[in-house]
Amino acid sequence: MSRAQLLFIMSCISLAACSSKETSNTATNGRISPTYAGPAEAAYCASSIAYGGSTITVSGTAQYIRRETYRNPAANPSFEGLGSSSVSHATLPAGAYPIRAAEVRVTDAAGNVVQCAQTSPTDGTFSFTLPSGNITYKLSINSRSAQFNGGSVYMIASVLNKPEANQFYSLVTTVSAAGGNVSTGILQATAATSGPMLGAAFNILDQFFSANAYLRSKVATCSASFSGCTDVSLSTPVPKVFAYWEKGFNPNDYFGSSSGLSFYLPDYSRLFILGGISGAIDDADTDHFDNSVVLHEYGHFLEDAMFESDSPGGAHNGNKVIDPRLAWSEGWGNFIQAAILTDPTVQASGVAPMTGTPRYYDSSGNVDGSADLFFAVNLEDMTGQDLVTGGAGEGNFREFSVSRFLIDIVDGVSAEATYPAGSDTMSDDFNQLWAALTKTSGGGLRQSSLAFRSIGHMHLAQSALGGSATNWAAIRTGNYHDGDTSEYGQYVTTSGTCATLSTGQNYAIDPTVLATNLASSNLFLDNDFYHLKIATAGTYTITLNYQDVDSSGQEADLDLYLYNEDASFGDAADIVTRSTADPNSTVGNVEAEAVTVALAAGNYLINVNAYTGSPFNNAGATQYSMKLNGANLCPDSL
Amino acid sequence: MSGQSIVMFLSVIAISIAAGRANDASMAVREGLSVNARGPASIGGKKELGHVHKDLTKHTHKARGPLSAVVELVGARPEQPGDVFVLKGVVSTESALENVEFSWRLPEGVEVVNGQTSSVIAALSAVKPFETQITLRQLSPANARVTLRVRGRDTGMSFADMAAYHTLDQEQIEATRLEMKSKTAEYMKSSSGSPSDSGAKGNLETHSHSSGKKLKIFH
Repeated sequence: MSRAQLLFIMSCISLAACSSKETSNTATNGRISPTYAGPAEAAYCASSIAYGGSTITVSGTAQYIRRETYRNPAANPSFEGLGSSSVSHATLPAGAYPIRAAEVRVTDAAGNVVQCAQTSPTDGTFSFTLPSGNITYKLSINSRSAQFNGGSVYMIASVLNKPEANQFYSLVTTVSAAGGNVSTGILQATAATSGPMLGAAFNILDQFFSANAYLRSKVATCSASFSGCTDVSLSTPVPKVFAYWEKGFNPNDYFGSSSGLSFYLPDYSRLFILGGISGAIDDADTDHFDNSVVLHEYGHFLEDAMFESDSPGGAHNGNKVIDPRLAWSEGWGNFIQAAILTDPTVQASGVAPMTGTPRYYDSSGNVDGSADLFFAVNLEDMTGQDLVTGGAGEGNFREFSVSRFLIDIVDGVSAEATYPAGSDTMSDDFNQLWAALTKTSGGGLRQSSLAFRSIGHMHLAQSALGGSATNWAAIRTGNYHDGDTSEYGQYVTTSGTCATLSTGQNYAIDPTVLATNLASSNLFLDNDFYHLKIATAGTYTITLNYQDVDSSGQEADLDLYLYNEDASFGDAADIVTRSTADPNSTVGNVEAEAVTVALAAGNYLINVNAYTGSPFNNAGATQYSMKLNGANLCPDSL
Repeated sequence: MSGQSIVMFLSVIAISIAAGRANDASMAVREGLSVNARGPASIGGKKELGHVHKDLTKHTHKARGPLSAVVELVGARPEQPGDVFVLKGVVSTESALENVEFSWRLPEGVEVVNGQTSSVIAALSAVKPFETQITLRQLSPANARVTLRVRGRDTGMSFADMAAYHTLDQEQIEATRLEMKSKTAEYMKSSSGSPSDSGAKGNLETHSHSSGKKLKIFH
């Protein structure tokens, strides 16, 4: 029996579910919910055990095999997608990489732990001692990492099969202590679909290593530059993350859908990574080798664990005007994956970093079945599928615009296709971004008084950093961003300061895009959003007055909506109250909407919507004011 | 089974096999979740909210390109070797694309009776999906996974999508998914979606969240 065969068998033994062939049956047995607590994960093998007397030394190297993402390689120019599971494939070879900083556990025949170790954070090597004697031990390299021997913490992460079992994956071999020192050689977690595919689990783990290495390289001493910034270092690591992955399993099965899905579950620190669809792998959507997807989800974990997200969730495909909280959250995820994957210093030895234009890759299948790239997107340049058409401020509402902006502040590219020459002078400014995200004061995203967070809040926080912070105004302009919350989530109070416009009103809107209902209306052009904080529970009256600017043509029809703090746009469940009266068609007079409602203390979102059902989409520029209990609501600072 | 019942049964099957985004998009309507369905404003009179998709949890959807593929069964499903059945592929896009490729992938155990297995859609409009039908014969007593792949490009970007139909196991697979969804909903309702000790809540040392928030997931 070859070592590979032995490893396969032993690996299967260590897992509850391990199939050697694809099946059309869903692998959902025993699954209950992504929130299910499940049994406690086995304690981490955190300290080595010292032995006196006669000992042997066991050493070796742990590697994982990864199917690589190829896009029109020279050797196979028509190919797009995941390549082979074999490192010797002629045109689309797999990569073999060190398993970095992973748990090493040695047990005796009775299952007692007799030694603990950790693979090297650089080359995956390991070495430990065992008592010599006529004993055969089981050596497991496990898909998790934590602090070992009280030393440096490279990451805290576990890649497990499912919440209902909380079982990590193990690359297993046996070691005899009967002779002298033992070299296991290279232990490989393979990627072949016909095997346990442990390479996928270890690839996911290694992305977390790279992410942590990236953060350490950028913000280990962030607080020294920007007071209040959260440092990430070998002694102050990112908290623990759990990644759930199982070969052939689609996490969307939890929600009854056949569409391939990877997701992050906030408050649980749980990632769910797509392992296939109904058991199919080679010709189905998978994400376990899509490092863009894995790191995008890890980016959501960072939002949850290291700063704050107010994303409402919902559909997104990058090139649409969407809720700015969603655009910010998803744009951040796209950015952080590209930042990590393009940084050669944080990748495992031998990994070719993403070169050229930063991209987001999401594959389906592989060369052994049918391979595709479901999504291969340029995150540097605005392209035909991603053109900003609404002007300055629309970028705050577009996922890829957020991604492009963030990439511009860290990359060394000084010229963009859509920028004025020389306007991007930023590079390696990640620590400023991190400071804006992690500070609990100065408008930092962890400031508890904030709500409805979007990239506008980040812009304000970065601008307030002071010290060595740079001016990002030029690249904000290049990406059509507003550097504040004026387009979404502007904080308003009755003691704030308003502009007085031509009609005497305070705010302006110009109905533009035809839409038959609120949910389908353009969030940027035809809606304004304001953050209202109610300090004391009570009954409040909010009024909206509006009038046409030039007193001619079609009169606009503005409506007033008040949302709770979840504020999913157009969702009745989140709309506290609304006033949607029709205008009286007398152009030039002041129209009014009003609501009187009992409100608990908390954060609310006022939505002024220009109804654009025909003919109101042709209405002229309109100005409006808002009042709370008769007093003007005006922009203020938090 | 009456004629009317047969029609209803086939309709349910046809709906149930619509894969991918169509499945997601229609879920709220089919399963009676909180949705504000409404007609055009000109018909409804008063302004309405429109359709907002609601999932079991509050979550985003995986970033996708504009292309979408859906496979639907037309008529009776195959039950044994020799049965002939028809699949309809629907290819749609959210923005106009040119030269969109589609191809049916037929595993062993299925053969083509009639129809194109691959072609190129010269111009795919955002308002008019492309439809193609293929007639197949089940040859084997084993299930076969038939897939429809679509691929497109635009200014350096690549987009693709895939939908699948299991010739013999589709009902079972859909039933399993629905059971899983039901289990998840039941558990989340009973546990109020609160983080457990084994979740990372206890590991989040930097800050905590308000416990009253809705459960959200991010893709």
